[in-house]
Formats: sequence, structure tokens, C-alpha cells
Amino acid sequence: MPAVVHELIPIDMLRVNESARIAEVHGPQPLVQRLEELGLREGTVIRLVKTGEPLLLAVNGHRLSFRADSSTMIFVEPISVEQARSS
Amino acid sequence: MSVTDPTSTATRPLTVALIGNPNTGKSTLFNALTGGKARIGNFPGVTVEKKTGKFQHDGRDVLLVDLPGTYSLAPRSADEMVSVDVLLGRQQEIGKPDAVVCIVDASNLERNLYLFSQIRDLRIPVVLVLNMWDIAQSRGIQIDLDQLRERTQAVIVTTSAAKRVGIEDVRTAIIAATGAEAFTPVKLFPESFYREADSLGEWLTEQGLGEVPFYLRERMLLDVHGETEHRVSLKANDDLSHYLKEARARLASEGCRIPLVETKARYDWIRTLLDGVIERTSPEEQQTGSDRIDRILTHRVWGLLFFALLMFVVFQAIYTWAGPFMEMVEWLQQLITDAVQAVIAPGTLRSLVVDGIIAGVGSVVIFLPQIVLLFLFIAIMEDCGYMARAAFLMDKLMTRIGLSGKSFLPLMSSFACAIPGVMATRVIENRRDRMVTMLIAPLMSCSARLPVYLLMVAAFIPGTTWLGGWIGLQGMVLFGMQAMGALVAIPVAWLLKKTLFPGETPPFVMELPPYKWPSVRIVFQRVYDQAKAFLVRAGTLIFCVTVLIWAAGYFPADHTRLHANQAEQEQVEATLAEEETSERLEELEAEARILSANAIRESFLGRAGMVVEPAVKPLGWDWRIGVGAIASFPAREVIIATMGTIFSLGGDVDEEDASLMQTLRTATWPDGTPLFTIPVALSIMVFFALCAQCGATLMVIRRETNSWRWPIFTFVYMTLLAYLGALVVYQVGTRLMT
Repeated sequence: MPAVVHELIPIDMLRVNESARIAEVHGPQPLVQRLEELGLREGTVIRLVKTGEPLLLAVNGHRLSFRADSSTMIFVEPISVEQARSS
Repeated sequence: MSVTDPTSTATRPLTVALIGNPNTGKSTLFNALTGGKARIGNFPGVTVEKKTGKFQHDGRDVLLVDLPGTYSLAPRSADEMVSVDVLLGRQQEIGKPDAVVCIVDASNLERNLYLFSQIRDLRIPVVLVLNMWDIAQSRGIQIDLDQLRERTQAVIVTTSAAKRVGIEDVRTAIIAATGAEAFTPVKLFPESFYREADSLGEWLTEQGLGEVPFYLRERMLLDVHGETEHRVSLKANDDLSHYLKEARARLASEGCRIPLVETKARYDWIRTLLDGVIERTSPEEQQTGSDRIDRILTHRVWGLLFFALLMFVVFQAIYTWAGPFMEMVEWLQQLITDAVQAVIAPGTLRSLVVDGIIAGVGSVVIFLPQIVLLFLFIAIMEDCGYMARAAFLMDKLMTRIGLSGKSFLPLMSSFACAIPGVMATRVIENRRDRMVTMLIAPLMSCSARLPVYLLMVAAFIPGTTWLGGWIGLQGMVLFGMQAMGALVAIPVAWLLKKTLFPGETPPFVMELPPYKWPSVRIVFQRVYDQAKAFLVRAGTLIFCVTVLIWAAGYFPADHTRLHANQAEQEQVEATLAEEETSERLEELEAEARILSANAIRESFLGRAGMVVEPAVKPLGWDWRIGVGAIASFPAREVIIATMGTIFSLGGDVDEEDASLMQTLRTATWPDGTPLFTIPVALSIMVFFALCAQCGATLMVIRRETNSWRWPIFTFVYMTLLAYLGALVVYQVGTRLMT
């Protein structure tokens, strides 16, 4: 098995049912703070429930809908190697 | 834990604040603790609802203050500041709370404890309520309560508030907590932060800004451009901002980055706190029932289709189900009119009571059944969790016009009433978005427009039905009218976003709570409150306008001949058997019609109407409709009452059926042609769909924007739209019909 490459991807690049750990949250400070309060912060494991705009995430057993703008970006690190992105 | 000193405090009622994240069952717990009896008011100076209730336990009186649901105690607005002020005892009216009850969702402790960790910093005794305990257990979440108690040093109670389980424990815990020592908060932040907070305190005293509580000084440092900073800055000009900027720079150089440090420190604390306390036996990845429902209801095609269908059914149902109830109200109104006519002789007083009060107020009250149904549907959709899905679906469409799904909830509640809708725009963080949403909210078809549509539709739209009576033309016109405001709002919002409030589409983040069966109690409560507000308005504002309109329509004409005529009519009627007529009676009736028509034309109202008529004639209206529209400036539904009064005074009332609907059907122009045609009815409906005839909404916009500019802007643009819309509909409609 090849060595696992830790790759950071924007959250909207995840596939349905893929889990990932949030690595970086960029954006205007008040928004980042709100996201963190809602659980979208570094280290949280999330699962993508539904792709699209906005996307649907499972965070700690709860459902969050999220759509970023050009100044906001969440980078995640996919967890399951088997489900690595095909594209 | 026990009550330490029962003698000194036993007589004083305890003040306890209730706080928690949204969707944790806070209102349910509040109602369970207080038995549902709440006093609703406003906190002075801000528009946050103040909800308090009382209960007794162990011989102590407890005053429970419900604070707005929030994810954190970092105040970003004056409204969020209220909760902090209450908890710090800075709200004069309430005083310092003896304890605070922090309610959390037991199945989501990781996130909910964030608020709890901030409350701990306030140095007030805390009762931590782990609510939805039953749901957490059914999801296989095991929580070691003893460990948690030991680590937090807090009083912890588990409840299932929706099932009324554990409520008594909460009461006992509150009493116990108020007597306990408030624990000293654990220092979560680096030492340098606390040093900075201390020197900030010294600096503030030096500047003569007085003693600022420790928690607020922490907030000033942590919240960049937050409300605490803003509030003190009002007194200290820009000095404070400069000072804070430098202080934050100093902290950053020591590795304490503001404001990142707060979320990090608090979540780290929570993680260590819960380490080994929570065990999940069923894996997180499991698909829940809500997920399965969501697969359809949030689907880009099926979801939208379902939404449209649901809206259609709602408006069809409002129209068909309310019928029998409306007939009851009508019957009651007739009963009262007959009773009054039997008691009071024809004259000014009878005219005031029958033509003014009963015809005016009655014509509005008749719509209560429909309004109750509309609010019932909205309350159910909100309580079962569907509203959040609708916002999710709508985000896609909202982004096209530069808004986000956040704007959906305020706009949807504007379908009931624009006032709570405008206030609900506070959840929108982006100022430009909030302004645009606020300015288009009054375009949504509120319940006050419903009476206008219902009256016009019932009187003038043919009752054609298809598919065995399931789909009717009347219901479809009603649905179209309800949808029109929203459709017009799209280009308006787009224009506003392009011109006055340019900016990018803001990001969107929102929680979708799990689906649940709506609670009968909560739904009933909401419907009851709204129905009451509607009736109170009918009894006060509409009553007053009605009497004024009646007076303006009655004076200064001479009514002696008319009253003599009415008295003779009744005499003749008394001598006749049922179903029998006489020539004299018919003569009298014809004379009465001419007399009353002349009287109202000579009245103040009639004279004013003549002035207005040229302006409203292109809309297909006569002076009576024109005067009604102008008089309905305070509230849209007044148009019904004023038309009821004007047409009743004008003698257009049919003897068999005194209802306004019949009256309107028989109303004519002076030359005898029918006044109301389908294009006229449509033009009235379109006018009221788009106009800003609601003083209360305009006042709320003023309050929320703190400027007269925006309510005036709203009024002008909506009135222009309404006039043009009505003009086009009437002119085009008339040409198509002939």
C-alpha cells in the first residue's frame, strides 16, 4: 500500500459520504468565529451528506448547511484512503 | 449541595436566567418550569423580547428570565448584549441573577458546552441541564455524569423536557445552586491575556470610564469591533479602539492570537473535559431517519417541487376549510345587527352602531378563521423542522439575486406579518443583505392582505372547480395573489443589490435540526398569540378608524328624511307577514337608497372622495374605493372595514343579506353600471398586494434602521409599484374582457 499523502482540499471537493478532518478555516474574522461556534473548526471530523450549493455536512451528529463565498475557504483532509478522490 | 443560609434570603424571590443554544428545547423547558404562564415585554432600549415566568419550589419564589437562544456570549450586536447585561446584573429591571440555567443538547455536548464555558467565566452559580436525554440514549450516547460533575464542578441535571421528564429535578437543582458558592473560573487563556485584561481595567479607570466588569474587559479584547468595545467607545472616542488594537498586537507577539485564541482555548477545554466521559456505542456515520427524509425534501428537483406543492395546498386549504367558520361569524354578526335594530330607533346612534361599528369591525373579524389556519401551517412547518430545509432549498434561488438562504426565514415569516419578519432580519450578519431583506419584506403577502383577497375573490371570481372539487379557480387566484409579492420582490431585490447595496453574495451557514413531530402545545401557543393580536387590533385600531370613517361619511348631511323613511319602513314591515311585500315598502326602499346615496355624497368623506376620484379612476375605482384605500394607511385590512362602512352608509345594503360581499356585488356607478368587474377586483387586489399600507411595519423599519430614510423609501417605492401594477391590470384586463 502506498504511503498516505495528506492532501488538503477545499471542503466542496469532498464526495458524498466521504469523511474529512478540517485543517484550515480562512475568511473574515467574524464569520470564522461563527463557523467555529457552529463546530466548523480545525480538527473537527465532518462528513459530506450532500454536494452542491449550499452543501450539507454532518458535524458531531448534526446537520449543517454551508456555502462559502470567494473570501471564505475551508480546507479539509480526507480521512478514508480507499475513498480518495478519483478526479 | 444544600441551601447554606435559609434565614437571610428565604423571603426574597430568586432571579434565575435561562440560556442555551437554539434548538435545545429551551422554550419547552421554560414552559414546563413556569407552567406556560409567561410575561412578554421588551428590554428597555432594545427590541429583544423579554420573557419572564414564575414558579414556586420548596417555599421559594423563583423568577425565571428567558434569554434569547445563542451559540455564544460574544456580543456582536446590541441585542446579543442584552443577555450579557442580564447575566452580569447590569439590567436594572431584573437585577443580578442568583443562578443561571444553561440548557444543552445532551447528544451534542461537544458544541453546546462552548456557551457553558463562557457562562462559567461570569462567576454565577450554574445549573447545567442536559436536555433531550432520551434522544441521546436512543442514539447510543453514554455520558458519565459523575465524572462530568466532578470535572465541571457544576450542578448537572438530565431532562427530556418535551416529555416533561426531569422538570422537578431542575427546580430542586436551581434552589440548591443559588445557595452554593460560585466557582472561580478556570483560566483557559494564556497568562499574558489576563495581564492585558487587568491593565485594560486600569486604563479604563484612568480615562474616567468607570469600573468595567472583568468579563466585559475580556470581551473587549477578544471581540474585534464587538458590541462591548462599541458601547464604551461611544464615551471614549477612538482612544479605546487604538488602545485595544495595540493590546491585541502585544498579545499576538506573545503567541496569543485574537480572536482565534478563544475558540481554540474553549474547545480544547471541552475536549479534555469530555475525554472519557462520552461514549458512543453506535457509530456516527449512521444514516438517521432525518437523512432519509432529507434525501427527498432537500433534493434540487423533488425538494422544490414538494415546497411549491405544499404552498399550493396550504393556500387551497385556507380557502376551503375556513368556509364554515366564516359563515358562523357572519351569522353572529347578523344576529347582533338584528338585536341592535330591535333596540335602537333609527337615528344617528343606530347608524353609528350598525353602519359604523358592526359593519366595520365585523367585516374584519370574519377573516379570523383564515388567519388562524395560515398561522397554524406556519407554526407546524417551523416546529417540525421543515422551515430550515426550505431555507436550505431557497439559498440556491436567493443567491441568484445576491441574497442568501438566511433571508428566507424573515421573508417567510413576513407571509404571516411583516413586523416579526423585519425583526427577524437581525439573524443576517451582513448589513447590506439585512437592509435589502428588510426593504423587500413588506412585499411578502402578509395576513392583513388576506382579507382583501378573500373578499374580492369570493365576491367576483367564479367558483369554477376541477378534479372533483379539489382544485378551484378561487384558490388559484388566491395563490397567485399570495405569490405575486414574492415574485415582484425578486427584481426589486436584484435592483437594490445592484444600486444601493452593492456587494458580493455573503456565505451561508445554518443548522438543520432533526425532524420531529410538531408539539401541539407550542403550535397552539403560537396560533393563539397571533389570533389574539389580530383580534386586539380589530378591537382597537380598526375600531377607531372605522368610527372616524363613519363620522366623516355621516356628517354634515341632513339625515332627518332618511331616518323617518327607515322608521316607516319598519312599521310597514311589522304589519306584513313573512315573504309578503307591498308597493309602499318598495317605494320607501327606493327612496331610501337615493336619500342615503345623496347623504354620503354630501358628507366630508364624499367631498374628499370627489377630489381623489380623478387619480383613482384610471385604476377602475370610484371615489369610495379611493377613500377606502387612503383611509387604510394605518393597516391594510382597514380597507375592508372602511368599505363596509362607506357602502353601508351609502344605502347599498341588501335587506336579505347584509354582508359586505353582497353589497359590493350590487354596488354601481352613478349611471347604474356595476362598479365591480373582474378587472376592478384584480386591480384592487394588485394594489393591496404591492402597497405599503401598514404604519406598524414602517415604524419597525424606522426602529431597525434608526433612520426615517428607509421607511419613507419603502413607502414611496411600494406605493408607486402598487399604483402602476393596479393600472396595468385594470387597463389590460378591461381590454381583454371587451
